[in-house]
Amino acid sequence: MPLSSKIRLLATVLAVGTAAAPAIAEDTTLVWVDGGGAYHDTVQTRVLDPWQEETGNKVVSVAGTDNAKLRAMVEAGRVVWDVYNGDNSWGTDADGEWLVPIDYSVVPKEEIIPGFASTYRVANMIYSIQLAYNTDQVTTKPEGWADFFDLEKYPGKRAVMDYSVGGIFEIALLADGVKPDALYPLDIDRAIAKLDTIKPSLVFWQSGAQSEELVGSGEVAMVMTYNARAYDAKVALELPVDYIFEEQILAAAYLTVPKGSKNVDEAMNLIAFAVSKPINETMSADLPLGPSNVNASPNPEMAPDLPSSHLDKPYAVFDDQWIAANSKMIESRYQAWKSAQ
Amino acid sequence: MTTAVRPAARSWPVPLPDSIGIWPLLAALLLLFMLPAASIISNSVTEPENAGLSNFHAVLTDPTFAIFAINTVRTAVLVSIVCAALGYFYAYVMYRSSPGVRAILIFCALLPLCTSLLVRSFAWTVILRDTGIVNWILINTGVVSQPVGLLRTSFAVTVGMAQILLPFSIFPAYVSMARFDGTLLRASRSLGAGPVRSFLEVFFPATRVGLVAGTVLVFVLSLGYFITPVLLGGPGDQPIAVLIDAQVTSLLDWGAAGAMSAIVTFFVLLFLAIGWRAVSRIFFA
Repeated sequence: MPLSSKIRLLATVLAVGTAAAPAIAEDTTLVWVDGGGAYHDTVQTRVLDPWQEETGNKVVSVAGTDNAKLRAMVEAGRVVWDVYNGDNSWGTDADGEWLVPIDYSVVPKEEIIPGFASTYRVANMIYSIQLAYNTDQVTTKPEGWADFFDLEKYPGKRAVMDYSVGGIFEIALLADGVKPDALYPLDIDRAIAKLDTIKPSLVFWQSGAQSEELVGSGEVAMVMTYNARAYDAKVALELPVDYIFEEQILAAAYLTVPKGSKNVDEAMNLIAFAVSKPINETMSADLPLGPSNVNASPNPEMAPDLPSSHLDKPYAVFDDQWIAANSKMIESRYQAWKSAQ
Repeated sequence: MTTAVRPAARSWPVPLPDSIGIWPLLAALLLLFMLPAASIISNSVTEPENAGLSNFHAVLTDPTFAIFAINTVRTAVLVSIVCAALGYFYAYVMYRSSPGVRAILIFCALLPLCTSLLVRSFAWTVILRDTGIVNWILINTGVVSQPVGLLRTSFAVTVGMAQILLPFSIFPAYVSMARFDGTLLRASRSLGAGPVRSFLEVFFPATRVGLVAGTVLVFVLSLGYFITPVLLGGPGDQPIAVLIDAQVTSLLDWGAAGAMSAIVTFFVLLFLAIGWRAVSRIFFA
């Protein structure tokens, strides 16, 4: 091994060393990683605890998905994550270099909503990006993204996700009258022109918790955020917040297995368990997260808050393949637009 | 009677540390900082394979990189100016104070270093936002009727970073003042110079080195800031660290990230080299 590779390896191992610690002790223990927050608790009580009870196998859950960390682990040959629960931008064929193909002899592909199971990933819940608003400032219910961009009818600031592929261009196009099924390929010029009309009133949020704080405190009148965050602000935190499902953008969280996982077979079993009807339908027990299994019946009390209960209204779906193929262009256009004075 | 003869100094460019206690720290720095940093920078020429200088070419011709570089330098210059002025003044007050008051002033200057960067930056968002204490005071005293947009501006970034970096200005300036020979001022006064002229022509030239050393440190440290501009700044205040972070975490383009890091590192070393004489006179003299 040339010296430079050795140095790289050493450095990478050091970088991921802290994450590696739990797995060194017991190699047969599966490690599940997700984005954290209230979702992390739901996964623990609704998926991982029942799985441990049923199989007797151990699984540890870690909060904090990080695509860069996963890549570092795979390249260093020191993979300690077995099931990686990424967002919709993760796990398309573009990421195949770092993933193991899903074993569909174990995972029931035919039970998954069409389009939500592909070579390297299978969805375990459906969420959406929606418009939420502060009820003290916005007294007339908005009807879609056009109202988000209408500062005259709805004065006040707007908070958007600071993430180029998180939907900011999509909501601008929807507001500008593009039909939800004609969003892709994204017309970035048109989206930027629309965003420029409200740019001085935009606030960019970096974390879901921040989006709740911004709209809950009234610092912004409206926010584009995850539907589970809007629900959390209104129901759990009891803030003056409400939300609409018109023109929501559907997305899914996906289960993937990093290349180099030492427990690939067990990981596939856990994934099959997580998307099976009885487990998958409990994802909506505590949070408004829709099932990905066509046979699953979600929590009836949660039904009014589930994205999947509102498909009679206009909605869009992220085109993850197109986004993955164009992510560099989208990111660079986004950064150039955002930083321009 | 024998005279102890010190062995002749070995011909290293810098004197080697003579205390054995320094070596664990140096080893830790090498292993935990230098090697990872070298690995990140080496990505610039190895990602993708046989990248050569293509990453540098792509980064240096990218107008977005230029915008973020300008943001970074503009913020660093503003913060340096604010810190230089406030830091020198604060150090001067320390210098003129009684030992008791000076101890309190040192304590106040050091206190911010004891709280986390994230907490301090977040505290500023609470102070500066539309519903924050500053706007509350301004509105309740009738100065303004609508909240003034303070948060997510260059002003907020400058205030937040200057507060964090101020100790790096204060202490070099104070060191240069403490070393100043006070009899020179008396001599200048007795020779007929007024207090202002004595300050400008005797005191300031003798203590300028502390001002320069502190400003160099603040400027160099400002170039690498990430969390404070992200929390306090608007879209036009985002530094290069944000762009590097996007390459690493969202695009997984470690080659571009490595090239950007190499460019920033080069300029940090360049500015340190330029200011090294002043810094070394304060810290090693």
